[in-house]
Amino acid sequence: MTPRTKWDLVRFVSTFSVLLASWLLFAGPPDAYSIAAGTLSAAVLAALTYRFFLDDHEAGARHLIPNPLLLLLYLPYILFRIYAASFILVYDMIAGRMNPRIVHFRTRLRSDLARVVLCSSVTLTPGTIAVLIDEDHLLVHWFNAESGHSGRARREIAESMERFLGRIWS
Amino acid sequence: MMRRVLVFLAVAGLAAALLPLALGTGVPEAPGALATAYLEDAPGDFGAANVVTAIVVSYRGFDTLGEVAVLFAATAGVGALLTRKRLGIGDAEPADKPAATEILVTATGLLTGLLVMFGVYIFLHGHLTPGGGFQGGVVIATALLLGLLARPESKLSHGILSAVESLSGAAYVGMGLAGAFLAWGFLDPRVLPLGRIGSLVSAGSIPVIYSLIGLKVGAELSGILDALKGDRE
Repeated sequence: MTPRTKWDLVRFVSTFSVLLASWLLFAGPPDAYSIAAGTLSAAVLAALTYRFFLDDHEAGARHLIPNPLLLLLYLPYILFRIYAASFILVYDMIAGRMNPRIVHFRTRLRSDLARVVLCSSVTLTPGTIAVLIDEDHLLVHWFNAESGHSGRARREIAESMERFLGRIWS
Repeated sequence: MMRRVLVFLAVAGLAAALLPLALGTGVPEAPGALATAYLEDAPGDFGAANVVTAIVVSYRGFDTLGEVAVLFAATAGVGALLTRKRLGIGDAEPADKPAATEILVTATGLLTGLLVMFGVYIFLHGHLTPGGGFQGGVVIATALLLGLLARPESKLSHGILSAVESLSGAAYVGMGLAGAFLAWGFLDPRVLPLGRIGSLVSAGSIPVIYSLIGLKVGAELSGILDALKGDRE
């Protein structure tokens, strides 16, 4: 078996397991038919999509497999951030304070997945929208920009999320 | 002045005419005779835990076949109109489209399989839980939309799409005819054993029909999305 086929097999099997796990999560208490249907569709879909699911050049498993406990903790954390930011944004709007601006900073996260989650978190937080990410450069629209300075913007917008995500996908 | 009075009188008259309708609205206390019959007979007749699906696929199966046909006509129309020739693009290569951002590309890679899996779950469990072929098909088309957005230069294989679409459509009509010959009427699901209510293999041919509808709707909507990109030959 060449390294090529081996790597393809690894990608196929991991895609298959994730899909099957999601099926079991959807379908509830499994019976024999349900498992058979899930296995069959997971196999077909894994064969069709494993090339996109795991990138050909993906280097480390630690970039993909999250720390499950911290991931669970991240959900209430980001919910809190969303609520806190909504109140601040509402207050800013009532007070008439706005200073929309596009700011730019670099993230220290290495994993693609963590970067995507960071962008989604920034977008979900009211007041900031992640417009673009190019390698580690982030372009963020900030509703009430306190500063155009990139270090300051990173501290205000992303640093605490980044630190959290960096531990989830180290 | 006269005109205003006339307009006012016309509006007031319309309001008076519609008043009884407005007063008579409200939620009926009990389901009507037909609804009661459906609710009481569906579990025994077809063994479907989800009565809505029993109505959509069996009692009113003809209606659903018609809806699938309408969707097919819409897809064919969109596909025939949105070609390069008709849009006036000709053979010229379109200008380079900007590449999608990495957020979209990474998320699409991870989500495509999961979304299609979720669509398959929805249409396979149409007779048990809310949802069914149309909903599942739309979820599957969403996965393809993500793929088209992440890789604008990619082309869907029309051969595979039309094969899935026509085969599942033909199989749907075939299941209907099987109902006519083997059971009591066209689209009767009792050609297959009814099984135990609530298990995945139950309700006769309802899950088969809904899966076929799901595949067909998914392929058709993906075809529409692909045509909307505007670079079809």
